Amino acid sequence: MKIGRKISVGGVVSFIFLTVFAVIFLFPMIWMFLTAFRTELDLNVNGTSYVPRPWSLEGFQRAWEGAPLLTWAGNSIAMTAIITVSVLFTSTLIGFVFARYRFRMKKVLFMIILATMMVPGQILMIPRFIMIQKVGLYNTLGAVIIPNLVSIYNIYLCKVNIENLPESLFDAARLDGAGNFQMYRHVVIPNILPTVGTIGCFTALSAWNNYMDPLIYLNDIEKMTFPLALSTFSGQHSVTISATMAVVLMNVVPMIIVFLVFQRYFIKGINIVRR
Amino acid sequence: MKSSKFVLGVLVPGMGLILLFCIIPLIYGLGISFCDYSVYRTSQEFAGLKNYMKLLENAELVKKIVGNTFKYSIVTVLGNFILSLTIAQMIVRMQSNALKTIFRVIFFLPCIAPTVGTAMIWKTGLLSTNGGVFNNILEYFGVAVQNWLGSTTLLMNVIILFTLWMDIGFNIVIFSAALENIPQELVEASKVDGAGAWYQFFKIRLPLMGRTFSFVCVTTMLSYFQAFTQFKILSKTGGANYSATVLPYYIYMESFKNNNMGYASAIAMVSFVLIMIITLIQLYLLRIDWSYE
Repeated sequence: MKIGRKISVGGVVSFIFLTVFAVIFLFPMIWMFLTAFRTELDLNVNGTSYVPRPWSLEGFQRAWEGAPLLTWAGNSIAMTAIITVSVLFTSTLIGFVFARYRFRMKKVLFMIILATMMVPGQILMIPRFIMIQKVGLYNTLGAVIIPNLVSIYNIYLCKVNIENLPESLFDAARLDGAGNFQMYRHVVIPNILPTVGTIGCFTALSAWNNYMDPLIYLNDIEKMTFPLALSTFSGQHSVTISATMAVVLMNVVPMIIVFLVFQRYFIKGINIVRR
Repeated sequence: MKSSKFVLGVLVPGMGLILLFCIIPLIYGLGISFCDYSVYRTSQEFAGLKNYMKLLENAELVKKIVGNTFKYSIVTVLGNFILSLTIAQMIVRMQSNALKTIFRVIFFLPCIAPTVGTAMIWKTGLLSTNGGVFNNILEYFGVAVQNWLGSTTLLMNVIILFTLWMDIGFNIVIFSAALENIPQELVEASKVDGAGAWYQFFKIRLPLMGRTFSFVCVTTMLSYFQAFTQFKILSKTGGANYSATVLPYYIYMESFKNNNMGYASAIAMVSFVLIMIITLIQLYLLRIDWSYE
């Protein structure tokens, strides 16, 4: 039996190493944060210093004046919300049907799903682009949203999870006269809530951070979502480093807040997630 | 009867979307690779194996790009595993749960932030030739400053370093959870038998997290093989003389910048085959008998 905490030499050494690593790791983020609050003059004069002298909102002001930040934020939020809600619905519903119902061609359909899971995104990029262009969705937010409404891996994940629920839960619900959708709402969802949380978090994360799709499909500055807008914005000549970092900050911070709030879904569920 | 309605109601739209955005594009993509495709024309010409022949004509370049992709993926995966296992092992050693959480959160932060944003931070903050932190450090130690993003030799290494920074948090969290789930008795027993730290790690802990390890191996390798954003932001044009061009970036450039969609589709098909082969080899190699489980 251990009484109190045993502090080992190894533990202390580990702690020191981790702290050093953590500081190195955080440094780029801290640099970004500090630089966003610096003035252009300060950046030019005190090149080797990293602390703002004085603290200023000049960068934010320039970004605000030079870029449609609210539009970008609106686009990003709308895209993230629609994709996340849709993926949650489609994954759980389709997963439920494959896990708990018998129907013709079930095996074949599921094999197809498994096979497409292995197809990397870069293969689909060109044909999807041509299809999107042909139906006239090019340069609309829909082009970024619609192909991402279902997630095959998450369907698979839900199916496996729902299969593992005990049959007795469903029998009890059936005895109470629950219909299919009621069963879905009152039996399936409450019992796979951690998985749902994890899928929601990581879907939102990858939608918010999605760069490839907007890069290919969106052209107008007002139609862009944050990551693409950011890379376009920083490429302009008149844009200062602090203004760029102010936009980076606005892009990064919402996700960090979401992460800190839903941390356990991110950390606990991570080993079921596929990048 | 009611059930079948429900099943249909879910499957028809669901499978419809999958068909539309996964299966049809796959077949369509294969078709495009046999066409002389141009977005400026309305009807496309069948070109037979022309695009694949072009790949052979460009063998030198294609070899270089495939080589770059492998170099990048393998070096980054190895670096990732060494660093994330070391750090995970250290995190597990922390006695308080609060400390464990704090460290996990810190190392995970770069994974949360958009890659475009963090790549931009590296580009303007760390790697810039005009007051970048890397050069400031070199100057401090009296070493010649470097043009990190402009040099043919450095660019790839810098992108590898960036990828490690932005991505190891993922595996740190997975590995530290797996290490924690190892039954303590086994570790204690090996200690009693006089096992050193290294022996313990390689012979006890690592085999015990076998399944996690093989899963992570495959997914990490696959994600690096498809890395795009960091190359787009940090390398701009793929490095001088294609020194930092990898397959995804090459496909993107050929299809969307040079309007060679047919040729790009052929490259995409080749890289699809490569990805399949890698996955199968890895799955085969990793089917080691993790007999403790």
